[in-house]
This record gives sequence, structure tokens and C-alpha cells, in this order.
Amino acid sequence: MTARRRLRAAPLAVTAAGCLALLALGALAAPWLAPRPPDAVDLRVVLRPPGVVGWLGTDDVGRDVLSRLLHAGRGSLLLGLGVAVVSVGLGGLLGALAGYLRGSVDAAVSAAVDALLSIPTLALAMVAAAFVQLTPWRLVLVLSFLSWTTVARLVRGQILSLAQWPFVEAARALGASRPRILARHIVPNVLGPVYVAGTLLVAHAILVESALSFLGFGVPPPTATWGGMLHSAQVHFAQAPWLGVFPGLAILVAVASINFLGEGLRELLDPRGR
Amino acid sequence: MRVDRPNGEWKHRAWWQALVGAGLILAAALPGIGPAEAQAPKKGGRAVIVSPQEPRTLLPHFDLLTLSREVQRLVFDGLLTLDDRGQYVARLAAEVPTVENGGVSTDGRTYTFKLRRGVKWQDGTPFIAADVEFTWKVITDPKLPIPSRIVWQDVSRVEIPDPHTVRFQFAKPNLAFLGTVAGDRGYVLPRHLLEGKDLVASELNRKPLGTGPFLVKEWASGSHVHLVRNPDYWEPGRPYLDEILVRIIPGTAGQRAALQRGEADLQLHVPTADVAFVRGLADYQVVAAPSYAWWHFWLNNEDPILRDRLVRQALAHGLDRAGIASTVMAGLVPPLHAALPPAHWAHNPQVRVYAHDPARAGQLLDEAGWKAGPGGIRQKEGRPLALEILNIAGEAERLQVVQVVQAGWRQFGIDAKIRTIDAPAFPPTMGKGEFQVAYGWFGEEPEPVFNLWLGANWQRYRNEPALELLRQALATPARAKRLELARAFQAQVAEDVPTLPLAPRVLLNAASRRLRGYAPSPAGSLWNAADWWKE
Amino acid sequence: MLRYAGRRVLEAGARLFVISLLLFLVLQVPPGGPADIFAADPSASPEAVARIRALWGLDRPVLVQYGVWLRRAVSGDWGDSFSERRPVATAVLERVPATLLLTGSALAFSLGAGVLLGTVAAATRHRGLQGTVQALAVVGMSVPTFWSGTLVLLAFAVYLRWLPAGGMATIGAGFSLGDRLLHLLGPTVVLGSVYVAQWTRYVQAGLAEVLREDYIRTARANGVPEVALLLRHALPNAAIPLVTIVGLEIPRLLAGAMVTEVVFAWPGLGRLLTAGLLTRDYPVAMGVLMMLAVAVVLANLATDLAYRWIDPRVQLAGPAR
Repeated sequence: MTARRRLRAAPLAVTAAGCLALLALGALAAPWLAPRPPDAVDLRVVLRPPGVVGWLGTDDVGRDVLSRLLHAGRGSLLLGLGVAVVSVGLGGLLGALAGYLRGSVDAAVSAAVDALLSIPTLALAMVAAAFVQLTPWRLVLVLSFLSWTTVARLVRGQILSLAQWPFVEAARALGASRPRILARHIVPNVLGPVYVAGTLLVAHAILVESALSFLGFGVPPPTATWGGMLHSAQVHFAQAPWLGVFPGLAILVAVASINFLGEGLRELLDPRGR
Repeated sequence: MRVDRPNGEWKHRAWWQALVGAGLILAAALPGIGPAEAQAPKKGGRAVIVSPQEPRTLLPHFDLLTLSREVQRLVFDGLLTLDDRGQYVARLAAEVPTVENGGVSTDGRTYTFKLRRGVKWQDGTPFIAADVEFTWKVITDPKLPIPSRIVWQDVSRVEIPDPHTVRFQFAKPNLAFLGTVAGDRGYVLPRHLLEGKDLVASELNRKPLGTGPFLVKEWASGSHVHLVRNPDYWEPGRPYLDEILVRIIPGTAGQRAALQRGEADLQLHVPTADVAFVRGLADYQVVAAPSYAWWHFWLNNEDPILRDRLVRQALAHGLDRAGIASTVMAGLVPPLHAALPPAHWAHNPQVRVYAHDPARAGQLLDEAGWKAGPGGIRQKEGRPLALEILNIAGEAERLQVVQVVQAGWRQFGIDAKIRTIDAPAFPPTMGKGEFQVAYGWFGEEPEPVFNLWLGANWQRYRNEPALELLRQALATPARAKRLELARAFQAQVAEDVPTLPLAPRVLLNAASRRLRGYAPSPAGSLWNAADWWKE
Repeated sequence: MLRYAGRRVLEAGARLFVISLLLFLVLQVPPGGPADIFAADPSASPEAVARIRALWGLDRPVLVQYGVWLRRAVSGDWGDSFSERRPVATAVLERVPATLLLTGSALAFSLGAGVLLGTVAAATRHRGLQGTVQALAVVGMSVPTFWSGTLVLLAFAVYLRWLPAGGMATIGAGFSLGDRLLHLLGPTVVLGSVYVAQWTRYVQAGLAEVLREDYIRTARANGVPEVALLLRHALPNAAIPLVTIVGLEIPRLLAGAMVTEVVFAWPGLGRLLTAGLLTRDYPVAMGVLMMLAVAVVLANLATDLAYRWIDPRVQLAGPAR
């Protein structure tokens, strides 16, 4: 099946990709797109419903919900991308080392991966956030430190299986050096699943970050984050439901689109697997 | 009326009966003449109190959390307490010591308490003066982590002439002692259970034993504290209630549901955002607990930027007190300009007012040498005007206020940032001076001790002549003179702006109309729980 | 089987050992190390801090510190809670049943619904249905539980008043199964709904594949009724991989349970961790982490053993391959 045929067979992934692109564009263009600055406090328009002042209403200190939503989206998406990049880098490297060098390196990495996977990411992230004063960058590092494991496991598995393929053995027989084998034969075959894993990592990072912010452990205010908006919305939920509905919806749409994209990529690259 | 009249008796009796009957009917019909309207308190029943936070310990003196102290009041008594009109009421003391009855010496240095007889601890042991002396020793023990020892630490000697009398001696005249004894730092601890033991690890933290009207039957962490009536309480016939259940419901949705379903008789610390909701419920009313506390901003007067009075005055002009009071605090309190709240008798209503005027604030900063710089942030000698506002995590309202203020100060060129810190870390951070601006509340005693200025002094205000006014006030017995001194101090402080008062702090509670006898006082909501009853 | 079990138990032990190392490293993160953690205790006097330094060997080399820490952790001494003034182990173990109940019921609910829906979907063999199920699985995974939980709470507890607004039981009313179930309903559905579609998807895909197998066709040709075919032959085989997948999802399920607990005021480990971290009660926070790690390792052990146990038995049911 050609790539185009596959794309047509997965309309959901395409729609999701489109949705996501729109969201991403909107979020990244937030500084220009947002009708008001996200921190613009205005005590005269506190808690107004959608349509009266702003398209999505105002919050408890008069800030425009839509603007905050867009800026928060920007933050969340950038955070997710950052986490994905760092995790893939770190995880890819460690997984490759484990898979290629095997022996004690493999044992050490595998043990670390196992240990990290045994504790819920959110719990560890909460403790880390409590120990360290969180800035957006530190949060990226913390979440990456907790997420590299899936990529490492994946890469290790791929390398372990690929290293036994005939063409690799042939290359080795022909005297090609290890790095060359790695770069020219192994890496291209590993990239596919890594893209998928990376995409899904973005979604996971956004979910964990929003949960962290909701519980009160995320990036400190007044930086707008979706989870943070939900956290502040709790007290007012009954009389101002729009404060909570929209950020949650935003998270859902963003995360779902990314996940669909990931699933679609998976279908594209390996239509046999689930 | 019977017709046959064998003798004149019948006629007599019949007339007499008619008269009495008519009299009764008249009495019932005419208002004010009939029997008293007041219902007699009903015995029995259970009161459910909803609390947004869980108490941390039920052993008094170790924890600053208001809710811990409230629940402790159900189990422990103090020598005195304060009623809803701010008057002292005798509890473990037989009567309130005054100058007239000799309980307070005329020079204000000796306080003698005659203890109530027949009081027993909840395990049956009699309560005696040695318990009071032991409590004082605990509070002033430097090895124990007592958060606040003020006034108690000024006691130079405690005497026990007999097992039912305690005498406190002060080196200097002290006018605040009764207030301290009546407040939540005045509960008495059982000596026979705690002497020589490790109080911090004691099991009395979870299963306390006091002389109070209620016993702790069960404390399920995260869920509830279940208290039952103390059958041997020293006040006969009290408490009326059989049980009190303190339900811990942290989320506002859960709290609302509890009220809507009528499951709660009292909710403590209703957030401002829920006031309108409670008012909409027919069975509940919002009751404000009287308090002598207020919200304000501490300014670190030793900070290089804030050392300049012009900057501090600019910050005051940049504060939209009225706006915050009417929105974030739902108009329940007025803006505050003085260093004491209006509820306190020493409040000065005539201090200098800094109107919300960003333009004026900008002018003052210009005068101080902070000129407009890149990005709209002012600069002086190449350094930007950056201020960090310290805020305690956990309360939505605090965050709202701080965000409003931050945005407001940004308007005229201050790069204000918010730093969040959690409650236990706040006092040490402030004590070490590791802050520039900090938001929080402070409370004064009914008889002011001026701890904010003479004790902690986190704002590091060093105007000695002004502080001297306060020291004099503490040493003067005449109230009129004290008022004058306190007012003078507040006027001076309004000029110097070492702190930025914002608004009085009011604790709101939602009380069911079925709960009778509830009348919060400066000593908290539960001071008279023994007198509560349910319809 | 016994040898397999023994080996797995040893591996679980080794895993816990590595996790303990990880947690010990986490303790070193604050600038002052574990001592900093104890200095956060407002009731800590200088003598108390010095005593703890000695007790935990904080002045000795890191390896010795780890040894001391490990020995105390294994013997059940997880320190004392600053805010609750009692041993951390007590405070943590008290909350375990609540979290177990919630997680367990969410798992049961989602598995039950998943198996049911998956079976129905596979039986009807509708092509479009497969796609829908897949889509729903992704959406389900993407819903933030704190959002859906808050909406459910608002809609069903505050507005409609069909459900209680949080907590595990109506306090002071004595034990009532109906009351407990009603309280459990909201959080279970919210937490479980994340996984329903996922399990459905796996069951459906697994069944679809198994139904194509030769031995099924043989059985069908032999006149075995479709329903029996589905339930007795196909389903158990299809369900096997589900066991492993569930095992892999346990950490995420626990994380979701923690968030759900906060929303529904469920007195479990999640609430304890949140409250502990907000009050800087670090020993409690570390205790919860340890408990979570133990729970995950035990759960994985259970699923491994279950998988092995089901596997040979089911394979015997089908023809030799």
C-alpha cells in the first residue's frame, strides 16, 4: 500500500492531525491571536459568562479566558514538545547503548527503566515539584527524567532484534565500524517507532503537567496553564462553570489529537501491529 | 356549668373556674402577658460541623492551624473564655479576676485565679492548680516547639498557695494576660498524663483528654473526628448535644452538597465565593465570626528598594483596596487604611488614606529616581524595579489578591513576580528576612500586645520614637491614654508605610437555623458548643 | 509452576531493591539532603535534628546512609509524620484499603465493561464498529480524570443530587452496603471510563484474531453453538494478553486513582500524598511513594503469575498447535 492510500484509509488520523495543526498554530500564535493579554486583571469584569465580555468569559480577577487558554496552550504544547525531545534524546541514547553494548550496561539501564516504570509518574513528579522550585524549564527536565524509559525500552528492543539481521551481520563481516553500522543501518529502522513514541510522549506530558497544576504543584502563577486554570476554577465551579469546562476541553482536544496522530503514525509505519 | 346547686359551692366554683379560664384565654391572647416565648433547650442530638481542613493535632499549644485550635476547644477548657460580645466568661476559673474583686492587682503585675471546684479531667482525675502551672511550664519550655509564647513568657513567677488558687506574677505591668488566657493559647493541659513525657510524640495528639464538654471517640484521618458528650462535665446539664461530628470536606463541591442536602449544621470558613450560594439556601445563614485580624502586605523595610519611603508610598497608591474588597472579598469588608481593624477598640479611623492612584504612584517613583526603562519596567542606576511578592499556597483568595496587586503594580512600571511558599515555611522565611513583599494576615489580641511591631517585626520597622509610643501604651493602665498612644502610632505608621493594610479579615461560617446557641466570638466558633442545641 | 513463581518472586524482590535505591536518590534531591527534609519539620528543635542525623547516619558516607535507610525501610520504620505525630507506616497503611478499593473496583468495572463490549463488537463483526471503538479508546485515554471527575461531581452530586458529593461513606450512619456502593459509584465510573474503551479494543481485536483460527472453524463446523464458541473457547484465549496489558497499566491507573481521590475527597493514598506535600510532611510523602512502588510490584507479580496460570490451562483446551 502506498503512503497516500494508507493516509486515506485512516481518516481519523488525518482529521486529528489537522485539528492539532490548527490548535498548535493558534497556541503558538497566541501572543498575536489573543484578544487581551493573559495577565490583564480587570476587577470591573470579574466572572462574566461567555459572550458578555470575552468569547469564553472572564475569570475571578477579570482576565479573559480565551486569551489565557491560548497562552496556556502555547505553554503546554511547548512543554510537551520539550519533554518529548529530551526524553527521546536521553531514552534513545541509553536504549541504544543498552541494546548495542549489552552486558552490564544493558543490565543497569534495564534496572533503572524497570524501577522508574514501577512508580506512577505523577507521584514522582509531585514529590520532585515539592522539593524543587519549579520553572517551566525545570519542569521539562523533571518530566523528561520520568519519561525517557518508554523510549529507551523501545529503542533497546529494536536494536536487539535488528542487530541480528542479515544485512547488519554482512556489514560487520565487510569490516564496517560499529558507529557506521549504527548510523547507516540501525538508526533509520528505529526512527519510525521512536516518532510514534515521541508523539505519544507529548500527549502524556501534557496530561501529567495539567494534573500537576490541578493539584497545585505545577508552574507557579500567574503563568497560565490549562491545569492551573482548572485549579483556580474549582472554588468558582458552581457559579462559573465556564472557568472549568473550557480548559478541560482544551486538554482533551489537544491530547486526543496528539494521540490520534500517534496512532495514525503507527498505522502508517506498521499497519500490521495493533 | 351545672344547673343543680345543692349548696352555694357549685356556684362559687363555677364562677371561679370561669374566671380562671377567661384569665388564661386572655393571657394567651394578649401579647406580652402570656408565658415566656423562649423554647427550652432540647437535650440530645448530633451536630455536624463541616471543616475544609483537617486538624493536625488535638493537643493544644503546638499547632498554629486555626482548625486544630477550634476542635481543641471542644475537648479542652481555659481558665477564661470570650463570649460573642467580647466579654470575659469564667470557665475553669471560678470568676473573672478584676481589680475590684482583687483578682488583678492595682499595679497590673499580679493575677490571681480562684479555680472552680469539682472539675474533673475526662479520666476522672480532679483538676487542680498544678495543672495550670504545668501548662505554663510547657508553653515557656524552650526545648518544645511552641509557635507562640508571647505574654506567657513575661510571667516571672507562678505561685500555688493552695490546690485551687493560681497566682501569676509579672515583672512589668501586663494588660494583655486575661486576653491570652481567654484565647486559644489558654487551654489547660493535664499534668498527670503529660509530665515527664514526650509531648510531641504523645498519643494525646490524636486522643486528647481535657476538661471540656466533649470527648474524642474516633479520629479517622482524612475523614472525620467524632466527639461524644462528656457526662461528667463540670457544668451541670451541659452539654446539651450528645455528639459532634466534624466532617472534613476539602472540596467546595462537597461542601456545597453537604449544605444543600441539609447534612451539615455548621460549616466553618466558608470561602467568599460561596457566600451568595449560602445566602440562597433557606435553612442556612452566613455568620461572620468577630475577629481582630486583618489582611496586609509586609514590606521588608531593610530591602534596598523598599528602604525608600517614596517607593513604599507609591506601592500604597498602587493598591486598589476598594476594588479588591468589593470583588475578591465580595464586598463583605471595607478597605482598611490603619494598622488595626475597625472591630478593635484601638482602631484609628482618621489615618492618612492612600487613594488608588497609579498616576500618583508613577510620580512618586519618578521622584525617587526610578525612571521609565525598557519593556515598561522602571530603572535606577541600571537596575530594574523588580519586586517579589511572597504568598502562601493553598487558598484561592490569597492568590486572587496577589495577582490583582501584581497586575496593578505592573501598570506603573514595577516588575512584580509572585513566589509561592507553603504555610509551614512562611514564618522561618519571614523571620530570616528572605522576602521583599509578603501577603498574609495578622491578628491582634482583645487587649493589644502589638506583637507585629514589638515582637516578630518581620517588616523590620526601626522608627524608635514610634515604637516607644507602643511600649508606653503597654505600660499604661488607663485605657483612654492607651487609645491615644495607639492612635498616634497608627497615624505615624500611615505616614511611614512599613506595611500595607488591605482589609479586615473576617471568617465566615454557614450556620443552620436548626442549630441554636451558635454565636461565634473572638475566641472562635466553638467556644460555647456546650450551650448548643438542635430544634 | 512453583519454580516459575519462585523466580518471579525473587525478581520482584530485586526490583524493589532497585526502586529503594531510586527513592533514596530522590531523597538526596533537596539541597540539604535528607537533613533538609527534617529541618522542614516546624517542631524540630536543634537537638531533635541532631538526633535524627545520628540515627540516619547523615554524617556518614552515602553508601552507609543507604544501608541505614534500607534497613529501616524493610523493618517498617518509615519515620514519623510531622503533621500527624505518629509513625508514617501507620498513616500510610491506614489509607491503603481505600485506594485498593477504588482501584480495584475501577479495574473490575472497566474490565467487565470492556470484555462485554469487546465481545459484542467482535461478535457483530461490523467493520465500522472497530474504528469507532479504536477512536473511543484514544479519546478515553485522553480525558483528564480531574476534569471529568469534577464535572460528574457537579452534575450528579450538586445539581441532580443522585450521588453523594465525595467521601467513602455517610459518616456516623453505621455501615450500609448500599451507602458504600453509592459513594463508590462516582469515582469508579470516572476512573474506569478511561480504560473501558481500551480494554474493549484489545478484547475485540484479540477475539477477531482468535475467531479466525482453525480450531474455532473446526468447532463451528462440528456444530458447537456460536455463544459457547465465543465464551468457552475464544474469549479465554483472547483475554490472556489482556492480563499482561493490565499489568503494564497499573502505575497509570494508580496515578489516575490519586487524582480521582482528590476530586471525590476519597480518603486514600492520593489525598495523603497531596496533603503531605502541601504541608511539607516529607516522610509521609516518601512513605506513600514506597507504598505505591510496593503495590505496583505486587500487582505485576500477580499478573505475571496469573498469566502463567491461565496460559497452560487454556492452551490445553484448544488443539495442539
